Amino acid sequence: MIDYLNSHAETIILVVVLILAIVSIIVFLGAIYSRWIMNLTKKKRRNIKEELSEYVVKYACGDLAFKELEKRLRTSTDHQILLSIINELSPSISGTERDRLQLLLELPVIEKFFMGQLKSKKQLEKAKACLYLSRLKSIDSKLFPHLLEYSAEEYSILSYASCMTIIVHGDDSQKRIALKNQLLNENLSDQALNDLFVEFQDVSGGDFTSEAKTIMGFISEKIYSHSRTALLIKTLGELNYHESAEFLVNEFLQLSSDLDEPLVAESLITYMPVFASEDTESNILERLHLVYANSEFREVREATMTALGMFGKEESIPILKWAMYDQDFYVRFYAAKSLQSFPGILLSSMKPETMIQADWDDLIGEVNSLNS
Amino acid sequence: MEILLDILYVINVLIFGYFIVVNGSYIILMYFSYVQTKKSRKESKIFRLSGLFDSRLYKSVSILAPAFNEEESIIESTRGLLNLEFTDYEVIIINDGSKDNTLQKLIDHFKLHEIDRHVPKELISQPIKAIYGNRMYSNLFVVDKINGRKADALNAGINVSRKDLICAVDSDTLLEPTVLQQMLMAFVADPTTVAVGGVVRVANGCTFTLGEVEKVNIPKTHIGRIQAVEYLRSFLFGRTGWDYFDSLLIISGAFGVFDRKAVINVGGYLHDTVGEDMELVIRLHRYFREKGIKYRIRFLPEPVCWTEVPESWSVLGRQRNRWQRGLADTLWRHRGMMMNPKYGSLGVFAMPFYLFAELLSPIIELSGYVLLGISLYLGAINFQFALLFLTAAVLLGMILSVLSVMLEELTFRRYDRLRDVLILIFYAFVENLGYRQIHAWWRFMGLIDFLKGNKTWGEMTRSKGTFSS
Amino acid sequence: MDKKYILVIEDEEMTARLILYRLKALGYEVEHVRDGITGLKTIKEKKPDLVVLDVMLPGISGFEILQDLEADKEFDSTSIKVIMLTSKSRAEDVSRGFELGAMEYMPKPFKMDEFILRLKRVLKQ
Repeated sequence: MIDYLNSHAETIILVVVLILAIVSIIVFLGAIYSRWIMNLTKKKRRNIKEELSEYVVKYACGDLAFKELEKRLRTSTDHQILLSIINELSPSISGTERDRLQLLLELPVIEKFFMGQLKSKKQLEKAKACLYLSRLKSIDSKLFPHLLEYSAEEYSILSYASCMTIIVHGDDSQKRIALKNQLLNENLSDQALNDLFVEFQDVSGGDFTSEAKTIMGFISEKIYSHSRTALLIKTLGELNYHESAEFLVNEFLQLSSDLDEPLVAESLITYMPVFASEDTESNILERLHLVYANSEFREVREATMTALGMFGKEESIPILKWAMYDQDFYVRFYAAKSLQSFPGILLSSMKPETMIQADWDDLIGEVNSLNS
Repeated sequence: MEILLDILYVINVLIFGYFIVVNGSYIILMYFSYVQTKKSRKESKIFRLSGLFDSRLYKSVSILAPAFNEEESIIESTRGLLNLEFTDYEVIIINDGSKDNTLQKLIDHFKLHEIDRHVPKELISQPIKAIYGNRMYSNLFVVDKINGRKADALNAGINVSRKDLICAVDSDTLLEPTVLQQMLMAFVADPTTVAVGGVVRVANGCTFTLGEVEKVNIPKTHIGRIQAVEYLRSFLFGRTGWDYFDSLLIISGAFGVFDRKAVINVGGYLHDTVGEDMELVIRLHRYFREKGIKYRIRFLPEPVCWTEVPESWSVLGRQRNRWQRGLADTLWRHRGMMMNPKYGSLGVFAMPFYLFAELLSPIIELSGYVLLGISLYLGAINFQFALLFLTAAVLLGMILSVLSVMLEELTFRRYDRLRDVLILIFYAFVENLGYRQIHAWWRFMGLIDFLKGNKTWGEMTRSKGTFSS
Repeated sequence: MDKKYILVIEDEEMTARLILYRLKALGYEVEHVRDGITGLKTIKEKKPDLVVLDVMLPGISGFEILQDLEADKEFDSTSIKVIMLTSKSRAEDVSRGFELGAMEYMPKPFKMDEFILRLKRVLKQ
């Protein structure tokens, strides 16, 4: 080896230097050439975009016929730019203008491209094709078996994208299967599920009954992880599914008292003040007072103290006062915040003797600043 | 004598081999970086975050910006942070015992007053003197604390913060407005993500208006331009390459997003190191691997953070000396992970790579040059071999630098003008003659300082006002 | 009746184009700016009859523009009418907009016809 290096050193240097020279020439020329081309295309694209934007705006407002716009589209670049214009515009608008844009997505050139991608070997490309489908007005029903299959994939991007498409175009049972696949897919984050549930509600068109039913159905199944169950409850609460009020109250009242699942308890408690009815209120309060105010989990006690304040019933006052002695600062904090909302309560005189002055000052100061 | 010559000869060959292997691995890394860049660009457009601006269903972010004597730029940079396109986030500026008017400027400009806010002592830090806020800027908090190190300021910031994620930034950097949304994507795409690093680019020479980069130009000085190439090579493509192998070891202190709970679980930033940014990332790796919990630490090449790099040789020298000490300290603290298969590709590839290709390279490189001279003088090697040696050392480095500029052309094309790119390519060559040797010297001295136990930060002086319009 | 002058402060180019096209077709005099700082300057210089205002803008946000106008003695909510048009549609954002003197709050995605309807209503007030 050493002898070889020694005797062939010159050749090796020559080879290396030559390679380097070739590489640098390629890079130099390549850079110049690609920049030249790029600048040309950039200018061209800018002009095309300018012109097409005018067309699209007129078309979207109904002042230009579809055929006229179609006639303007000659090359694949035109189509690409059109697609990017649509992508830019459609998230901000809805109604008639948006519907018109949707029609543009079905232009044969664009459709053919994505249909090809849907069968691609690359999962990421499939996912992008799915997202394209999700933006169309309607899709061929023959596609659903594929989409459902994709929605069960472990690769979260593909399962998410196909589920999105099914949510937009599928029927109730297809949506249920697709969402279920996502709930079971451990590679998919809770936040990605939020995306799907937000869309799920958006496409329903005002009446959320069947959507609420689907989500409640998931909760009743009791086969998902606790964090997913908590997410489902949060979805119902945060997206204002009032149809689920009675159901959630029942879930809460039936929650086993051993509190083995703080996440679920916490999320239920958070939305109890919103969903309680006159009939159920006293039962809920009783559970909160007797069980959850003593929970061994900090998060549950915090949620309880906040909820008690929102209920605003005098009978909670002793519990809240007692919680001011809690070992956790935030439990004390939320208890104090809730107490503050009762008329006739003078919070500043209620410093627990166990609490150090500095903590108390923080607590009072922050509660007051929230109310000012 | 004969034996000595033989030994010298063998050492030379070994060092020659070292250059081939190190540069070769960098080139391989660069290839994977290209693959990864294409992939993450496509992935970044998948998730919609449709409910981001109208519900509380997504993760919230606390931006932590330690500031020490930044009165010139603090208002501008704070305004930039307040104007990001994100919804549930708070900006916490930590005035780390500045000796100038940093705090007063903030108070005056944002009409702040002292507020009460409970700060749990989850991490150890120097005491906080006061926290300031104003209802009109409800997501801005200014923490005034006794001076500590940057790590100390960040720990204090973590104690004050109340959001799900923390985003550590240098207060002299500028974030692009959509940066938080894009960083959040990494957490949306994978539920096990605990930390995400973003790319840091050289701001010198660029023009900024309204807190956004308007024109991307190369720096005007030689030293700035060399760093522009360097940042492309090691920070952009180097780290993207490691991301491909899921073995990212460094998230720049200038810009990174972390899961707050995870950082608290591992004990926050370490006080007595100068490499607190790298050390935290390795400690996170270690924690999750040892507990057997699934996790991801990602690097995203696209959301960009602009930072001003030093344009004086002495400041740059001190910075690199400090980085080297930080690297040495971190690798030493976590030496148990080195070559340990328990830590997967991290222990088997990434850590040894950093040890040999980064930490020890100044020693090997400098001694290579010295030995080469001696050997040539003593006749242990012939002239051809010496040339061969230099070829391996210098020309391979050139290929690497040029490749990284080329990769930038293939992917991001942040530089608008052809002229700038050609100049960068030129500097990619030149960097290897002179600068690289000086750089090796700085890092060599850094190692010596580390062995001597020097843990000072070294003075950082900045030129002012890159980001103001 | 003289021509009403409307200023659109919006950083999304296509959305702005669409709005401008519709408003011009309805016979209004329309101007468009892309960022908050120029936006605020234009409001102060030209005193438009109505401003269509996005929240997330380069430079300064739509809320900050409103704050600035509120603090400025020369302006009150009757002299300059503001419609917020934004994807920030959480309850607290909406109430913040109204608190700061906006007369309408349109969340994105929006229906063009509804937007025009509200705009006309605000102009009449």
